[in-house]
Amino acid sequence: MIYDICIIGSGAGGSPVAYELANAGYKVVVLEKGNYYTEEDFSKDEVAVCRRELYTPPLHEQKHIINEYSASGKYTRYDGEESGWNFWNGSMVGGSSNLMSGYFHRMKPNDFELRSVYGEIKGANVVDWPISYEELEPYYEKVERIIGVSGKVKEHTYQEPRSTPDFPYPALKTSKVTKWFDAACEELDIEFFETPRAILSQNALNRDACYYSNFCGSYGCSSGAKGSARAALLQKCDAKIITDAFVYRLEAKEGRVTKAYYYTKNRIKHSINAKIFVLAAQAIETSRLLLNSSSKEFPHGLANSNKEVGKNLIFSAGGAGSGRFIFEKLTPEAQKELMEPGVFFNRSLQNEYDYDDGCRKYKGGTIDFLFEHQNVISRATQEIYNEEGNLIWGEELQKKIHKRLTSSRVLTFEIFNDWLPTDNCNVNVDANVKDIYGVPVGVINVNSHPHDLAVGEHLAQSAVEILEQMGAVEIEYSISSSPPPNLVAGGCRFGDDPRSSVLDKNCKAHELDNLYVTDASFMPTGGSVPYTWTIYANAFRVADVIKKEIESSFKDTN
Amino acid sequence: MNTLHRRKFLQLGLLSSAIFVMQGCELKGITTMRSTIELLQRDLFEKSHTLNIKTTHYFYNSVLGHSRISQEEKKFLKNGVSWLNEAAQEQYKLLYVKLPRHHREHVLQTISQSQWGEEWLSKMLGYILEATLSDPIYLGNTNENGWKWLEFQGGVPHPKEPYL
Repeated sequence: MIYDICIIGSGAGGSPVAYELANAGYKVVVLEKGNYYTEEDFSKDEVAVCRRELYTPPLHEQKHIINEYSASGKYTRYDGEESGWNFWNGSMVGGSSNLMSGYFHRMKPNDFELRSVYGEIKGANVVDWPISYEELEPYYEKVERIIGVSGKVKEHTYQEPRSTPDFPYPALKTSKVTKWFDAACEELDIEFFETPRAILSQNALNRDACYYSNFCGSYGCSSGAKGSARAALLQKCDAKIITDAFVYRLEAKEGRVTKAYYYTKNRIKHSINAKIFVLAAQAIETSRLLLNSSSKEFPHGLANSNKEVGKNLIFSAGGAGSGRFIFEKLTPEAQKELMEPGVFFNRSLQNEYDYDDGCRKYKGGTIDFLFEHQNVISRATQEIYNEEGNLIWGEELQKKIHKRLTSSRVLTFEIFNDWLPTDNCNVNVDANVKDIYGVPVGVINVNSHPHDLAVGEHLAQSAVEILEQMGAVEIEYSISSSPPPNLVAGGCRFGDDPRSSVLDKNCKAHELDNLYVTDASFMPTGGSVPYTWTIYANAFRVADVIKKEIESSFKDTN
Repeated sequence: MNTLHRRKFLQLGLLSSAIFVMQGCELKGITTMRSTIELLQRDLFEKSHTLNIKTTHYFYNSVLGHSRISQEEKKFLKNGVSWLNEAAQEQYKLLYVKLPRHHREHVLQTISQSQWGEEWLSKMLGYILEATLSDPIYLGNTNENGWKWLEFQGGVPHPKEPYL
């Protein structure tokens, strides 16, 4: 059998294509390495989900090699299995979109022209995108409707242009502590807005509304409210989904991909034939698969004659911080407000999406505020050291845990700014280290540009001021060059020049007539927001391109 | 018996769940891993015991028996029990379970200053807290007593089966 479309990976990059093409009547198959979990399977089991890594492969079976570069250009090699450094996300139908928190921000018009607007930065491979915000805007809007985005548009300096006045679903319920936040921002004259979320606030789209479980990020959603690629797209189309299918090689002849080969867990080999192939295995694995698909015709790997595959891997730069609200400083009513479970915080800043240091304009970023995750084992375990850094136990530990968890609560913030692409941040494959299937593992070379840390540091100041104004104690933050494994992009840049990019502006490989890449690999720069909304929007855009392509080829055939 | 290699003794101990405490090549005592762990867990976090939470059962079932905890980690956890008894032997010439409370506390304070001891105790505390605060399906957190103690509601839906 020859499918019209074969999609490798069922997450936010692959599923919009499956949804659009299957609903248009084409034969679509999706190959997914992980299992198929549905709403009935998900629970709020902290041990399974957060402490035993239910949704990711065991590192002794599948791992990465990580080379961490220092500023001097030297690197330290880490074996993923030995170090426990885990770059897997959600290995399941719908991918990591099942486990996201759904903080949804669009990229801004300037993010598409980073080099033109903000200029070069030494040591960073910054380029403009080959498409503009205006070209992607209709697809951002489409995501709001089809995936389901809840919120309330509030005008602010960096509010991006919209083709509709507001989000299709009303804002989710929020904690009364947001009143303290809003008052602090007004006092400090800092612009804020309500964080849009890819979570349904009311029953819609044949999915149930959010039931405010208190356990959102890292967990699968049991109502279907969260706009995962599975709940919003794959369960709403009849694309054939094959699970337990680890694609290890793409075969290409005469400029066309002809077959995808995959292994099951029992290492049985299978193959799929299709007219068009869409690769969306998440950035690192997408580059790995292309590099592992070398042949006489493509000796450096598929789509890699210019040796650009794997280059310019990016993450989200920034960091995180927190402040604690303690009962001793609060009225009984405020204490009650503080401890209300379930409801969200949903406050964001983009007041310094760019900023000026007096000499030049710099790109800034986004800060999302949220309550500390409710994972109770994790919160209790954080208390096993005293202020001097010594391990404590017995009565001292019991009292500390009880007091901290029953009479205080932590408000956290997460900073998102651009992770500048550099020469030493990329994906390769290891010639000697193989996974349980016998396939060379991915090598992740990690390097962060010093400018990323400076921006994060600058942004953190507003968050700290707000927490101070709100009366928080123990305010702290950390700006880090550590790569967040769930916020990864690049490796197969799109661009107009086939010499310096892997994909054309429609995310089709320059060198192949029928291979598209629709996960975050295409992104030359990432914006200063979480990537998921942009991945969804771009995949819907590419789906339209593929639909036109396949329609015209059908007309030619007939 | 004194001529047997120390490492061989440790291996025997791990297999039989007996702990052979050696000093050099001399056997100084035999105890069971379970009895040491039961007492250690009460010393580290008595509250779980008063909440009727079976932390030792959890440790055997959901930690040592778990498919996603590496063999290396399990070996370290078991070796730590032997090393704790060796430390007790060195300080007080007795097994940990034979020591009075204040001497056991002193042994814990001593090993917590070493790299292995701090790492091992922090892991043991982590697993006690898991037992106390995980979903009751894991057979710790009896009657949600751990959650009630911290006024925590737990997450819904609960798992239908434990992930082991």
